[in-house]
Formats: sequence, structure tokens, C-alpha cells
Amino acid sequence: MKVKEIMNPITDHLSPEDTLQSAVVKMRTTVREDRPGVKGLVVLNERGELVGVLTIKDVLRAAIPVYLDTRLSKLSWDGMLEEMARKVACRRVKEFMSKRLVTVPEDAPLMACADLLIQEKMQRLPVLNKDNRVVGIVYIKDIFNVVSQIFLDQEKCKL
Amino acid sequence: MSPEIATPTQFDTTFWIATTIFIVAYGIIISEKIHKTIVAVCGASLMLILHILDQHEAFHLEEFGVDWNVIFLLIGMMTIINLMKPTGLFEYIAIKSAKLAKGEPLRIMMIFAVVTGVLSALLDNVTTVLLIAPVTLFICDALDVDPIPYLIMEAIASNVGGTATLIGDPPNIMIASKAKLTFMDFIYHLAPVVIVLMVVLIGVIKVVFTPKLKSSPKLRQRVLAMDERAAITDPVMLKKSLFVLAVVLLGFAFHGALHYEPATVALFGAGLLLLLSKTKEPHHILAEIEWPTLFFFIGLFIIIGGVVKVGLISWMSIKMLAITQGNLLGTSMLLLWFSAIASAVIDNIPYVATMNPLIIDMAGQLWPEETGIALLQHPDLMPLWWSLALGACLGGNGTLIGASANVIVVGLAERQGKKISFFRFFAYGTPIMLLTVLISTVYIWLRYYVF
Repeated sequence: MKVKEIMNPITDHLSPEDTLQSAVVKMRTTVREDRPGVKGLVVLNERGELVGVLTIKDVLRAAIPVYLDTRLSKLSWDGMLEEMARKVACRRVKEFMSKRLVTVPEDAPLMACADLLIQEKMQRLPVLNKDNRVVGIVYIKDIFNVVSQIFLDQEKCKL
Repeated sequence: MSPEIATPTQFDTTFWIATTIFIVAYGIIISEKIHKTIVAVCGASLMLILHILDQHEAFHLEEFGVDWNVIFLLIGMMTIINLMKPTGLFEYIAIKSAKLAKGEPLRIMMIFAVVTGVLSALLDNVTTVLLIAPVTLFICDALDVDPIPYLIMEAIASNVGGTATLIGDPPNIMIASKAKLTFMDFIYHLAPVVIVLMVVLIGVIKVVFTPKLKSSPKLRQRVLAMDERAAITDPVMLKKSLFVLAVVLLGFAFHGALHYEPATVALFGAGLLLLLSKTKEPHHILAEIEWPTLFFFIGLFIIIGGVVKVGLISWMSIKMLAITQGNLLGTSMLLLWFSAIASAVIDNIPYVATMNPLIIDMAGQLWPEETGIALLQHPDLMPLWWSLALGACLGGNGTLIGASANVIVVGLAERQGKKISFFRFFAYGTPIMLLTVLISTVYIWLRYYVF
């Protein structure tokens, strides 16, 4: 099976110039598997090329000051997260999106996708066509579904 | 003194090759087109490939090659600090002092400047600002004040504080090794003026920032409510680190009397703390040593060795003597101011690496009958070493690019979305540099030429 057979087609995307505020609105309203709400969106420039991915982790990271480490975060005051979140609401997607693009071509074998997801600790991979345009996203859950279906299709394991 | 240095310079092909390597390497380092470490290592290897120096000279001879005192002193101190960092000691000290300042923004700036100054006298400047800057940003967010003046003042305080001791700043480490000066020599000759400079710096902060820094009692309460003990992650390791640090500082204080080089003391401390830490994986601690800096030193030492061997440095020292006519007060003052201005514009490490052999060569010409320590520490030469140290360390405050500590705070602020422009740093740094160098001028003049 190729990745394009199981990927989810792109329904929405962000622009690098979007604010985090408008980005979270899109994340909350984009529909996936018939339910609104996604944990990540691809970021495309005005020419439609993939320039990054913004996930809920990136949004959280935006609210955590870079100077904070585990020693200092224990000393933080009540309300610090909320205060920091207010400060970054109007900053741009391009500042916080992850720019390290890990993608797969649409005819990539599933093994290559599974390996990339695990090795790179990713939750999702944008799928590119021959013109390097994003045509879909494959989620770790999609590959898990394939593997688990194979398990279930087998005879019950005897121990 | 070697017979090679005393012979007049031959302007032959070898001379021009070595001089070209030196000038081109320094030019690229200043332009920052290629990382300075890569330039230094390439320049050094060219000195070897083109037979300006042979490998034995570069690796094993004190006068032409790598100064292993400097390298191992830095390795030792970096290892100790890398082991201490995760204990949370530095966060503890910073939070504790912010609370001692009662959460008042102005008092915090003054007390942080003092803490930075004292810490950077004991650690290197870059480490100090790397430790203090995150806590500063944290406290400034708690108090809702602009952190930039704090960061700039800390960079400045670290450059001033680092001047006080042998281990405080790389120029001092290099000068100490070349001139065979002890830790206590630096304390005796530089610490007094640095204390004066720190007091002046605190006064400047008070005058400049009193009208600017305000914060509400509610915000101050946030700082007062912080429990600094929560920052301590590993109390056992903390005690071991403090013990080793005390041993090392005692070792430094008495290294002259005990006939140990400072690098021996630092390496002993590093070994001891590694052992006490019971770590099974020393490689991540050793990997955190700033190898690029050390290789920068290694490369520079070899490049300088090349131009010392071909006589460029000797030729420069003759020119310098011609300018100053052997007037040592004049030479001191020229050296102090020239070093300060040069270090404001270029990295003070390559600058001092060049000046050290130049001063030694000049001494050899002034007092040809002396050798060894008698020459290196000739009573009339000593003020020159102190002028070089004061100029090279304090000059770093002149511009944003003058010292590594400045570059580091700018980088940290930028990652936090706060840009420190060249001119914003300049507005604080340059007047303070001029003031501190002026005070040093008076100090050198009074202490070594009047009394």
C-alpha cells in the first residue's frame, strides 16, 4: 500500500503571516474525521509551497519563555502561563512553526512513513505530490490503524 | 628569551608567507565570514604545511606553540562548571539576591550587577552571563519591567568583574601564563581597581535608572513569594561542588607558594568533582566543554607562533619602542588605551595572543641582560601587563561585539523576542568603558609611576 491510499486530504492550511490567535481559530474549526478540531496544520506560503507545520505543541511552546528551564519553572508564579499567553497571541505563525520539514512523497511505502514517524518523533507527515505540493497529511494514527487491522485480521494468537 | 627572537628580522619569503597567513586569518576572523575557530585551525595548519613552524615547535615549544596552561585551565574550569550548573546553585543565588533586594527593580539591577561581577571573577564571563541571564529575564517578567538594561548591565559587570582575577577573563589567563604571574598577583594588582570600578558602576546604575524603574507591590510580591530552595535540584551534588570549588579557589590562592600552575589546580578540581559526582557517563559533561573556543585558542597560538618565529612580532615591538622612545609610563598609557579601543572592536583573545609575545620581545630589547622570570616580571615591565589586562578586559564593554558576554546576552534577548540594537548597547557600553578605562589610567599612573 502507498501512503496516498491512507492519507487525509488537505482541507485547511495556515499562512506564515497569520497570528497565533487566528491560527488557533482554524485549528479549532478544521474538521477531521467528521469532528472539528485538529492538533496541527500545515503552513503554506502565498505560492502554495509548504514552509512549516504548526501544532498544539508549537502553540504551547510559544507561551513558554525560552529562558525557562525545569529549575526556574518550579519557581513560576500563579498566572504566569496566562500572562505569557496574552503576550504572544498576536505574534505570527512564522515565528513559532516548526520549519524542519519532514515530508513523504505520495507514492512512499508505508514502512518508510512508519519509520520516519518513529525516528523523528512526529505525529503527522505532510504528503507531497510530484510538484512538491502538499496533497495530504498522514497521521501516526492512520498507520496504527493499518497495523492494528492486520493484527485483527489474523487468527487469534495462541499462547 | 630565545636567540631566534633577538636576531633582527629577515624579510624573506618565509616572513611574508607567515605574515600573510596572520593578516588574512585575522581579517577573516574580524569579518566573521567564516567561523573564527575554523579560520584559526586552517591558519594554524597552513603555518605547519608551509613549514613556517614544524609540528614539534607548534605542539611542544612554549615560545612558538600552543599554550597548554591556557587550554587545560579552561578545560578544568569548564568541567567543574558543567558539573555544578545542574545543581541549581546559580538560580538559588540569583533568586535569593532578588529577594534580598525586596523585589525592588532598581535594587535588583544593582545587586545582580554585583553578583555577576563576583561570579565572573571566579568563573568565565560567558558562563556567568549564561547563568544569570535566564533568571534575570524570569524576574523581569515577574516584575513586568524591560529586561534589556538589566542584561546590558550584567554583560558590563561581567567584563569588569572578570578583570579582577587570573581566571576571570581569557586575556588574564593568557597574560598569566606568558608572564608566569600568579593568582594572587592578579588579586593584588587588579582586584583593588576592579572594586573601585564596580562601586562606580553601581553608582552609574543608581543615577541612570532611579527615575526609570518602577513596579507595583503586587508584582514585587511575586518575587518575594518565590522559594529559592526549589531551584536546588541536587543538594548532595551541590555540597560536593561547593567543596571542590573551595579546594580549587584555595589552590589558586596558594598555587604560587605551592609551585603548581593554575592549570594543575583546575585539572585536579575537575578530576575530583568528576569522581565525586559518581557519573557513569562523563562523555556528556566533557562534550559540553566549549571545544570551539579551545580550538580557537589552539589555532591562534600556532598562528602567533609562526609570526613570532619569522620575526614579525619582534619587528612590531621595535616599531612600538620607536614610537614610545622607551618611555614606560607612555607605553603603559598607550597600551591601556590602545588595548581598550582594539578590544572594543575586535575579539580580545587574538589581540592579547598577539600582544603577549610583543611585550616580551620589547622587554628583551629594553633589558637584554635579564632572562626568565627576572625579565618577564621586571619591576618596570609589570605595569605594562596590568595595562594590557585592564585595557583588553574593560575595552570589551565598548561595543556590542567587544566581548563574548555581550554577544551572548544579545543572543538570549533576541531569542526572547527582544532586540538589543548595536546603538542601544553602545549608549550604555561606550561611556562606561571610557569611564572605567579613565579610572584605570589614574590607577596605573598613581600606583606604579607616582608612589
